[in-house]
Amino acid sequence: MNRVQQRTALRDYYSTHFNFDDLAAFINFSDFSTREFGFATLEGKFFRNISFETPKALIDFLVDRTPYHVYIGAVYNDPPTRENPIHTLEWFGHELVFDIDLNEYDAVRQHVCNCQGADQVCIRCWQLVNLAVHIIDETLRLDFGMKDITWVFSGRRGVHGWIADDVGFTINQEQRMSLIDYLSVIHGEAEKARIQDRTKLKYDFRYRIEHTVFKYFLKNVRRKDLIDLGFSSSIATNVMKQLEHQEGQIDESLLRNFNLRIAKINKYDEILRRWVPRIDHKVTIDLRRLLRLPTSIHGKTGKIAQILHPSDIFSFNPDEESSIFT
Amino acid sequence: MALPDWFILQSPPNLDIDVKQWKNFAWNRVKLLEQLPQGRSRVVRDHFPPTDDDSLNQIYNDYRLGAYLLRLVAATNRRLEAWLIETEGDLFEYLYSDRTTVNQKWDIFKSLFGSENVMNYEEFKYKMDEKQNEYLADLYHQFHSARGRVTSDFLTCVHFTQVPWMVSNRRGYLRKGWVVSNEISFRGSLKKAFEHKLQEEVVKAQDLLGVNESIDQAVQEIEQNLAKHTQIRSQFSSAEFEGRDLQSHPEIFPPCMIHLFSEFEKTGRLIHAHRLQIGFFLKKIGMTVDDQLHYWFEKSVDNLNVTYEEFLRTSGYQIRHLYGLEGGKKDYAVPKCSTIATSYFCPFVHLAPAILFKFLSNNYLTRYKSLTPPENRLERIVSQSGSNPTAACTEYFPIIFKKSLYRKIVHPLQWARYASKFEGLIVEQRESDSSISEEVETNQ
Repeated sequence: MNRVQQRTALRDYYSTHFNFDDLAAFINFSDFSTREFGFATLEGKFFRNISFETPKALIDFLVDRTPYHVYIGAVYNDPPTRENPIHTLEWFGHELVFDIDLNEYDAVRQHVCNCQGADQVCIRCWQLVNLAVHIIDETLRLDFGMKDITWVFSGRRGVHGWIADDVGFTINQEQRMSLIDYLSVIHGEAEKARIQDRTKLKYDFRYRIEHTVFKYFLKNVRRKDLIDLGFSSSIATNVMKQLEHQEGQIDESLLRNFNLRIAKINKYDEILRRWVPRIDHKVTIDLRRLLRLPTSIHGKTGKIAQILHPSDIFSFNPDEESSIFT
Repeated sequence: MALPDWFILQSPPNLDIDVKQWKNFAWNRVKLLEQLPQGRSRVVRDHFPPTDDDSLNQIYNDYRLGAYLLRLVAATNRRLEAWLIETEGDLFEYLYSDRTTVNQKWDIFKSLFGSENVMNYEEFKYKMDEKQNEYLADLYHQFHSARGRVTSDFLTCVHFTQVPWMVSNRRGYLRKGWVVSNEISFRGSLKKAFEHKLQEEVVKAQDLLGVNESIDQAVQEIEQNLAKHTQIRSQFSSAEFEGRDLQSHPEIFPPCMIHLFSEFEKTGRLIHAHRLQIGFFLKKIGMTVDDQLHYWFEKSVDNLNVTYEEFLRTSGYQIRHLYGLEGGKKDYAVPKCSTIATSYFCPFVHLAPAILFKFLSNNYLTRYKSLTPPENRLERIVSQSGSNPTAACTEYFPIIFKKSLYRKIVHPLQWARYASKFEGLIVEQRESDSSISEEVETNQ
């Protein structure tokens, strides 16, 4: 598709399919006029410090200018403009957002799927994202008491978790960082990054992490992964047969059995290192961050950054999403 | 609320007093605070006796009045503010642990964290309906069976937003947004909350300046006499490194920088945060902006087929930005260790134990120092690094320089400063420097 066609497709989407009410369900728009927006154009130019009086003005802008990327930022005391840029304004609040992106897993993805190159995504490596959503969602609800969590497809290789609870809107950088620290069991991005000492994790959280990781691991394991970990070929064959027999259903006895085997070869850290959630912490702690506007179009892929409904988060396949540019 | 009389963050005292007398109260408070480094137990014993004598009320009231005037003084000078907050924070910590009843502790919790953010354990259990919850039963068991548990200790629940350090370090059980733990484990966070609130009070105190001439005069006199305390927080300043060409002495670099430098040498590439970390450090140890521009241009693989002029236009912007020559024109500081642990690179946090061991024993030690690393000590450092990276770093220092440190390493420049002194690269200049060096020597 050439640029003119892309512009037409974007205009068509923003004028007919884009529904602002979907966003208002989880983004606080009570101070709409003082919220920052940012845009990237088809020509590659980037603009921020933009605000709109009303949602209609925003939609009119999207239809008129057809930006390639649409971003939403924090709320300030006054409307951000080029004359009054955000660093001259008082920060009022920003939704708490968690970004899970397959970029963060690039060092370990070869142990999970056969994707070649950073841009490729398949349903196997998407399980890493699913697992992170599973653990983060559950931990935020049970441990942090968050109630209103919405997961949004980023349009390319990840998801954003938007927390609409009031407490998440006003907390400062240190408080946001504390959530990241709590949720991060791995320190660093490298393949051999350090895994948090198990004894330092509180029982409930440790159980949640290990139980969920092993469940996902077994659901997606290949024989060669087991051999790589150091299992003998007969044990690897047995495990694969058992998994085949149970048709992908991972029950408690299978998990317990596998747990014992893993303990024997002391490979807990190896499995956790490959599978535990890797959160892009900068997105969460940066109070003035611009994030892709949910339900807008990702300019590179042409896919909609659509809201994932709780019932079908785990059956979502980014590869099957259609692009408005095709 | 039954806040203890010594607690200075109570409602403002009656200021209908003679300014001269008020100034005396402030001086008494200063003397008390100055005695703290010599021995906290003596200060607490001499000035805050453990009795309920009513006659003490007047004395405590005078202390509070003195502390109030010091807040006005702190409002005029940022360095004094830092000194006051730190010292008052220390005094608060001592008094809280030694001179406070359970009820008073409870009220201090409510006062500092806000009553809506604090709950006792019984109320929490009732609200959360935690009867069936196994891990809280575990917690209860752990609390009651803990060895050396202080009899006055009790379980407390504080909202997670008030105690980020405890959340980060998983120092309590988190449930529905509440951190449940014993009172003792909240003390560090309580001190931080006290310091934060005192800082807010100092800001508020600015409104009282310029209203009464005699008060302003008293404030000015005290400020001048407290000038020596304005030096206290400058131990990590870079002034002492200026013009010493320390960038050519990698043996004084802290492990985080050494690792990043060797990675950069090997690969010619570093991620943005790591480049910043090195850039800030080089700047603060005295590298000029031109030297740093040349350094990145020569070493980075991204610059192949790029002319120096082109480099200056593109990447050069970032380097000049570090020096406050572009953009917001801010003179950025080197991040401290706690920030490095979360946002930059610290080998004790980010390297896997086996790799860290190798780095500490082979790479770091033998590259710049021909030493035989004692394996058992290195193993201890590696095992300690997971839970307490700064302690591990502090413990690693004496292996290299054969001198113990009295203070913890909490900043990369602190390592560079101590190291360059032991290497004879900088000469002690200030009174406070020599005291540090003495402490170091006596702890060998």
